Amino acid sequence: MKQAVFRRGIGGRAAALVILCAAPGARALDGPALAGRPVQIDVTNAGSVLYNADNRNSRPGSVVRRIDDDWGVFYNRLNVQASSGPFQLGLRLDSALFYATPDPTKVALDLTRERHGGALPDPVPGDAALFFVQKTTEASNELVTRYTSWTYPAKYYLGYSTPDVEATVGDFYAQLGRGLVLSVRKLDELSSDTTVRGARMTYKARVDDVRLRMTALGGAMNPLRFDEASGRYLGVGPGTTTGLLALTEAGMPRAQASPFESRPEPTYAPDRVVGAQIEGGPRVLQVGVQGALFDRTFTDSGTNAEAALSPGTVRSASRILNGSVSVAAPDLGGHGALYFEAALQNMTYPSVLSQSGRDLPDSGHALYASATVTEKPVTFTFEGKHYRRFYPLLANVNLGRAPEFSVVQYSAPPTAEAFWVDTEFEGFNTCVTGGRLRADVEVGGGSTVFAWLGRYLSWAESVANARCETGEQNENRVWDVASGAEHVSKNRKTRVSATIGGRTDDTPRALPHPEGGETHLFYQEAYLRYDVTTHLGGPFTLKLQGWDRRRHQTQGGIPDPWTELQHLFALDIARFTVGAGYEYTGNPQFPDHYFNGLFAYAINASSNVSLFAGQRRGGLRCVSGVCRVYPPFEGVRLDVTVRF
Amino acid sequence: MRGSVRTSLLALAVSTTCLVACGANNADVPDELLAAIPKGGGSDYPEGPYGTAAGDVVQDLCWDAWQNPKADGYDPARLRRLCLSDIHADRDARLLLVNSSAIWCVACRFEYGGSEGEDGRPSLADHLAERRDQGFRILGTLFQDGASEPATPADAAQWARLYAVDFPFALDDDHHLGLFTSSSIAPFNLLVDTRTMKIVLELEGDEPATLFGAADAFLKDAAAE
Repeated sequence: MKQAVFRRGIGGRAAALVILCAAPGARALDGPALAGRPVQIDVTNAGSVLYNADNRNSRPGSVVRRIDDDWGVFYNRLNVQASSGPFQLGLRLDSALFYATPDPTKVALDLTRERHGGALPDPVPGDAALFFVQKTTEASNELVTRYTSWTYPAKYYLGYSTPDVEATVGDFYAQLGRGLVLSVRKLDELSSDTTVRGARMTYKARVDDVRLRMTALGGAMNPLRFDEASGRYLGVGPGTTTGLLALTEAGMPRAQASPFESRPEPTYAPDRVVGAQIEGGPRVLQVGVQGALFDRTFTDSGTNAEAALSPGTVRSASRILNGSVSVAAPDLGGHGALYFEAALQNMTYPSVLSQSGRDLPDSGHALYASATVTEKPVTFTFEGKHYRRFYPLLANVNLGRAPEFSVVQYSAPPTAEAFWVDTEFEGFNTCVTGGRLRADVEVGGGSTVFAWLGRYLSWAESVANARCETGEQNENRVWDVASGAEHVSKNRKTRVSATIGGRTDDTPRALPHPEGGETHLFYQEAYLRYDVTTHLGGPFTLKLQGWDRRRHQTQGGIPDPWTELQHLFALDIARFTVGAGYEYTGNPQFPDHYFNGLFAYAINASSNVSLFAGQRRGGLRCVSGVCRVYPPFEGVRLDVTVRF
Repeated sequence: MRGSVRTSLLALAVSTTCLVACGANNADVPDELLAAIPKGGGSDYPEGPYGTAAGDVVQDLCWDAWQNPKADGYDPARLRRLCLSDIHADRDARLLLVNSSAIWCVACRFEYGGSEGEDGRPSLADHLAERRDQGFRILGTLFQDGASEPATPADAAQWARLYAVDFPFALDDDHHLGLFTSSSIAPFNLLVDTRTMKIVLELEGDEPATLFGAADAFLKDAAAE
């Protein structure tokens, strides 16, 4: 796939495509027959036009915070699926076409002028000229990984499926165990969608009550290459596409060099994986054995030694072997369920590192358990974890050039926390013991009250501790408590939930307080979350959502506690939705207030159009322990999804 | 900036030419700005082309710094110009670690502070003491404060005093290390061969095992030469 660069008339093309996308008449299409079987073709197109104005995060001298203003993109995802009998064929074609981009020279000039109070001094001092040269270099280097128009085959597959056999060639999602061994999937909240591009086969057998399922898979990892929040793309280079990877990377975005670089620096190198799973047993007790071997794709960036694009404890491992045994009792006679998994991880390093990297971990292990016990009206849920040197499989991404893609990982060890928790800092989950017990009590009328208590000890949160030494000098102690209530109306048209909770994270050892002296407090928070959907009668439905937090992070450079507010309001009127949002943060790293509005129209069950205008707060967003930092957004966004 | 200036100027010209040719909305660069770029020369600092990737020669960056912060009493008035060429001129130096930190960065605090105890994490000063005789050097830099604003001399003094920094420490308010990594990333560590001024390793994040593993491998090879 060649790079598609459109510099003129892109706005017109984008508008035309959006109009095309918005054409009514969405339905699945019946195509020609194949070997006597009808072919059903399903086409879904999701198009977005975004314009990012000044998001108010600029800082003196910062290229990165200036260059994320005043850019626009038409981002289109075309999904075509065809199925006939047991066969399925699918293609997702992604296009990112930029119709407005910042100019690196102008960015450098603006920063230089601001450095001198708004205008260049007369005469111009030498240091101002050097500052300008450096900022031009920075801006040019930054732009080669952003705001570049691409059209590429994001996902494609050919599948064959019968009750006994499933086979896929191309892209597929995979999870082995509870995510400790392998977990590649879609996380819409984080704009992440990773697959394995290769082949997978699953065989299923059943004899009386005993079921058996065997899966084998292999291929190259394939994350989404475009990040719509930043306009950044992942580009492979010549050294990262040898052998099988030349095939799996055909048509994918390529790294480019800026005028200041002698060669393109790849921002992504696809790792390879082979994995297998056997699970089965009678209905009351399922046993699984699963394993995955990851083989890194290292490159020689000029030092005559092959290395990861961004070295690190996990990324520098040339091979990583994950394996686990799991036992599941999915139904305890209607009174609950049990799950237990024990995993091992072994990382192999290139000889140059293994001989000198005395602090690198050799092998790690993880124990994870969950249990649900129900005795109406009470349900207890417990999740526990005990991880030692057990790391998520971080993708081989160049963090300096594409930090937004640091979220890409190929496994997701369970956190045993609420899915929204974003306060497991640094390597918290790599060297940790803890668990959470939740109790739900049905109080009648569709209402439930609940509470939980979590206790975690981590030895890799306030100190880099690759070998997971579990002494007090490395320890962080966390209490996490919450309680709340949920209500669902009989007709299920009204749902209300509210949670109030807190978290405190301290250390046995004294930490330097940012304003002098010492403290044992590492982090503290109190919060309220609510989610209300209520049918008002007729075509009207009201939706309210909010998350208010009072936070204090003593080691984050903000000496005082700060408040964060997030409130969303929406009213459905038949097929129309109007909404408004307000966000606030007292964190001095970001602007204070954010306002936004939304208008949406549902064309039919699977087609809709929405217009968002306004501001959104930046910051860390996490889903089940996978986190990324979002920049603040300020601008307009039009989304049109149409299914034919 | 000496030798790097010629290359940078050339690169700027190339960039400008490219942008014009590509049809982008290029800004006009005032002639007086281009004319003000100092003309260097006469240094034994390695000549360009300079680059920002591992294996490239790093350009001669300069900062306002304390050569010996403790002896200078962390006094902002005693910040002096310190360039990579000064460290290149140190014949006993063999490998330089340039560390980039920010006050908002939690991990940076643990790089500087370490933790005590038998299995505690060594601080940057501990790592330096262990390898100083092998020609290992550290240059610490601070580029932003807790609100992501450019660090001030007072911020640098507060940071250096807090961690009793006793190796060269610079104020990087212009974020020179932004040439290598995003200003949203800290810590960032750069290992440079002080003989050739070639980049040995660029490392985003707090990864001491990888960082000092690579440093030890380099120093071992250097000792065997």
